[in-house]
Amino acid sequence: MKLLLFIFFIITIKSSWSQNIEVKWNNDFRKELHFSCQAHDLFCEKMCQAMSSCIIEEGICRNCIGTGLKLHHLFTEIGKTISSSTILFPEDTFIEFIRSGHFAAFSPKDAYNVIDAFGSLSVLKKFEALCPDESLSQIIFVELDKINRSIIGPQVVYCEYPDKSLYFKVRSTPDFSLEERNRATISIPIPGVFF
Amino acid sequence: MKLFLLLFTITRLNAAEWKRGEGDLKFTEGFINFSNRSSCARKSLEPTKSIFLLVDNVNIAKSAYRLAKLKGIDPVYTTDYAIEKFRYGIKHLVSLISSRLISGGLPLVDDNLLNETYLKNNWEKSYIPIQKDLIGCKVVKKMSSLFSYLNVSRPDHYLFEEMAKDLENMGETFSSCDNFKEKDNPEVALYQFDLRAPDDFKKYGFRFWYSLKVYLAWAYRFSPEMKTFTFPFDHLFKSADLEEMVLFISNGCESMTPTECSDHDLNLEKLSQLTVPSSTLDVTETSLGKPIVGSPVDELFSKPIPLKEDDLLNLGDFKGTDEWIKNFRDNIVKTRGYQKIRFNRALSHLNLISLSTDPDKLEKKIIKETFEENLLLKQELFYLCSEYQVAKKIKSDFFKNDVSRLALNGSLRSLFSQFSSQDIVRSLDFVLSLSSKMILICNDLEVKNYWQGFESKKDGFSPWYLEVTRGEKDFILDKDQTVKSSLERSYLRINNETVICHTGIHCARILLDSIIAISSLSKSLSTISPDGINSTNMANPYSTQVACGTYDPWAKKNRMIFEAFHDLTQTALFSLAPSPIYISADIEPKKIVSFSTLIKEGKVFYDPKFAPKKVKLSLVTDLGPLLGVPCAVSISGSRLNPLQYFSFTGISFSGCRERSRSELQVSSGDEFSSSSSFRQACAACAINLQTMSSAVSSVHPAFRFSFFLLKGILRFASNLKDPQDLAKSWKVSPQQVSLSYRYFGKISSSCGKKLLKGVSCLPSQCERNVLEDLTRKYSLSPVSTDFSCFRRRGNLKVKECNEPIYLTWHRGLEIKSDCPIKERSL
Repeated sequence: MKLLLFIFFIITIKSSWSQNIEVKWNNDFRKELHFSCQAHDLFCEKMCQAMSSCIIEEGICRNCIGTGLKLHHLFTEIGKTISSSTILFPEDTFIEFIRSGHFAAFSPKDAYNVIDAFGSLSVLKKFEALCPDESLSQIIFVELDKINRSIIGPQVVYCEYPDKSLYFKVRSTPDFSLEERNRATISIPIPGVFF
Repeated sequence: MKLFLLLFTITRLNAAEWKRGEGDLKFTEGFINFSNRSSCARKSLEPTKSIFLLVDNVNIAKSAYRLAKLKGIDPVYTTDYAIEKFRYGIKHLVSLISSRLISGGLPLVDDNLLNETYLKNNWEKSYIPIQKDLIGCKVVKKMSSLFSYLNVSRPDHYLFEEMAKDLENMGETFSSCDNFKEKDNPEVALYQFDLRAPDDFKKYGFRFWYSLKVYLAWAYRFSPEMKTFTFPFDHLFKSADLEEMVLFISNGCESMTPTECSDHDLNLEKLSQLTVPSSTLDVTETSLGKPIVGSPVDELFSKPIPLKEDDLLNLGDFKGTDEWIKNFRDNIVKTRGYQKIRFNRALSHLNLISLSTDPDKLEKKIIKETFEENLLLKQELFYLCSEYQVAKKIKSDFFKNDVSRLALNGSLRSLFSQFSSQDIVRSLDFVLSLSSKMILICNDLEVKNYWQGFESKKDGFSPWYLEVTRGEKDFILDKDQTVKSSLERSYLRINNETVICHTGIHCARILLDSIIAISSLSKSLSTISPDGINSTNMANPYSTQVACGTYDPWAKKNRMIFEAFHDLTQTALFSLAPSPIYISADIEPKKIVSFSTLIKEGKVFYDPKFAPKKVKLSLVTDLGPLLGVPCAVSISGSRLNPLQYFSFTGISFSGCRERSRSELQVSSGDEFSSSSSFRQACAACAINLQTMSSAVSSVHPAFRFSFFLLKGILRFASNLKDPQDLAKSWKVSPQQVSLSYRYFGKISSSCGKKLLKGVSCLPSQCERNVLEDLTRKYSLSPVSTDFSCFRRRGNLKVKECNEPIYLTWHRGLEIKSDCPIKERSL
């Protein structure tokens, strides 16, 4: 079922989604998002008025270096109850989200993640499980509070594939199956709009 | 020949008021305050002037290490540099805020105006730099005998000797905060901050510490000063969870915040349980990690009141501060980690189960399972019924009281919103609805004799159930709560992979276990994941006992007063039976007044059967010198007399260390000095008591009340010697301890007693002060002297020189000696 849905939206995605994102740290120890776009892609231009590549600095993420309950939950549940939904995140909404500055991006090798062992296989696997199919890289974007910049919750999952990049809405509830003894499966439909 | 001619002017001869130099580590200008249980408990109501700051930089170090790896730069150097900058920033920010608050540059925080703009505006108006004469900072390297006031009530001469030795090697106990490169322990550091606050600090001390914490949390993230202190890591540090990394601990009996009888304060005080060696720590044994947490106040009642000597901070178990703080930090991390895993798991299960099904559907599934002819499933159903029925009885009705109340917990609600798209109220309603259904099903099974002939196994119950019913503590976090036969089934799964519960019964049990964990842990949310900077009064084990009323530091005194009165009235009874005096009900309780004043003010009434003059005369005879002694009056509501008046319940002896009009401290006679007029007056009271007790023993047997009077006085005198529950405190001058040790080479028992009274063991006052000033400035160990302030000259023999040095004193003190004399470096 999941695979069918995945194939469906892969066919329907817009070709303009062909950029990639990297999380990097500059010489002032500030976190940055590096966007690179292909020639025909307007994403970078929309994001930061540049044609092929641009950099957006990530602001402060309050309490993101720590082991608070919210962060603990996030890093524990990534790839489990927190993963990508089958709903694509609209490009314009994503650009708006990033440009608002109220976000934090977490990648498998992240200086913010002091809960997991750095670069461990288990972390890489957890992040891989965020995306459908086999992805090259994954970034999860969380929304920050507009005033105090603390984490509100995960919003977008960026999945990079060999030929394209996709942005998914984070699945707010996992797929449940209530199995009776005869192994009949009840799937709960996921609410939301399919893009 | 070397000739040293040193001149300095002695401007102050009071040893207690040494001036402080730049970067000076001395705390010897102050006093070390020792206090017993009762006194320490009382002091918890006063604001402290000295605090410890625990800085845990592990997360900063981890983050810097990861960042260096990502950037391809030297991770060891970067991590070291980041730790250095972080500690430097925190220390300086605390010193800066304290300086600004004491000097008035920063106003105390007004909660009504509190927001980021308010804090920013206040900060921008305040440009006062760090003032080292207002705030002293030291790195605590070793919990030496200089910290013995934390676990000793009354020091003896052995302890004084230890202290003197540690004072000689202060560098082993403390190092300078300015030496920020020193990192004995790369994970955690302990600092001590001492305020030189004005005399009226008591009035606003608690607001001061509160304001310090609020400004610190703000300035850490937004002040330009912090940016300067921590460059180039300023941006990185701003994303760190400061509240998780720093902890203030009041140093001694006084408090940083007024302790309240609340879950928050009780949990913070419980942190002292985490100072036990980590090898012996069993998280589930501590009240922070129990499967089910009862009322914190009940816990207080169930434990005996500890002695200071019990060393609740376990300082005696560790060689140095490094080991102590590392162990403390490890235990905190271990306990918090354990709580977080349990809490996350419970919230997650509550969310998943309540989202995936509804109570009716789950009930039907369970009913269906009860009809299965499966012994192992029956066993699990037995666990379920036992657990739900016991849970219902916790605190009269756990579901009705605790579960319903959880919906009102704002922090929990906000936290749950991250787990779930639905409101926590809906999930809690699910639990309430299911619990009613389970109770009904189980009652029905009972009625139908479903369990007849069934023998249950013990080992499958939930840990919280075992603790509640049998007091067992074999809590294993990952213990599977279902029986083997069910493991083959998978009733509820997520993402087609992870099995949440194997059967309907299992789901209901997990749900109950989760809600019990949430209810327990939500009480300590502020310690698991602090919202603000935490401070604890854990160095005073009595602060919460006093706040919750489980220990009354005044009780012994009040009882003693009652007993004394009882004995004295009995005396009167035997001389003028029946008891002829009553005290007016309009006397303010705890008012300090003498009995004779009460008589003068007409507050004492006499039984009309007796002539007032005769009664008065008799009272004077009976009470003698006690009549003039300041008394604390307490009023008893009991009707000990046939009239409608309240009876007079007490006389106590005013302490010499009376600190306020409302507080009266009783001290025993042998500890009073007669050096000041005030003390002389107090000492006289005590001496009167003693002389009177011996005088009474020689009273002619013809006085039939003498026995009772003697008995009363002896009991009173014996009560005065109560080492713990009658407030006693001692101010010890480290300067005098050090000097006495240097002068005599040891501290004798008699010298120890003098030091306890705040009196120097050295000869006369003027000569003593000259020696004290001399040894403070120079590395000299005086052995003997014939220096006389009267003659203004004399010789001083010191250990460091073969020949005596010659002292003359005119406008200042001149030292003439061939011997090289070193100035003290510390």
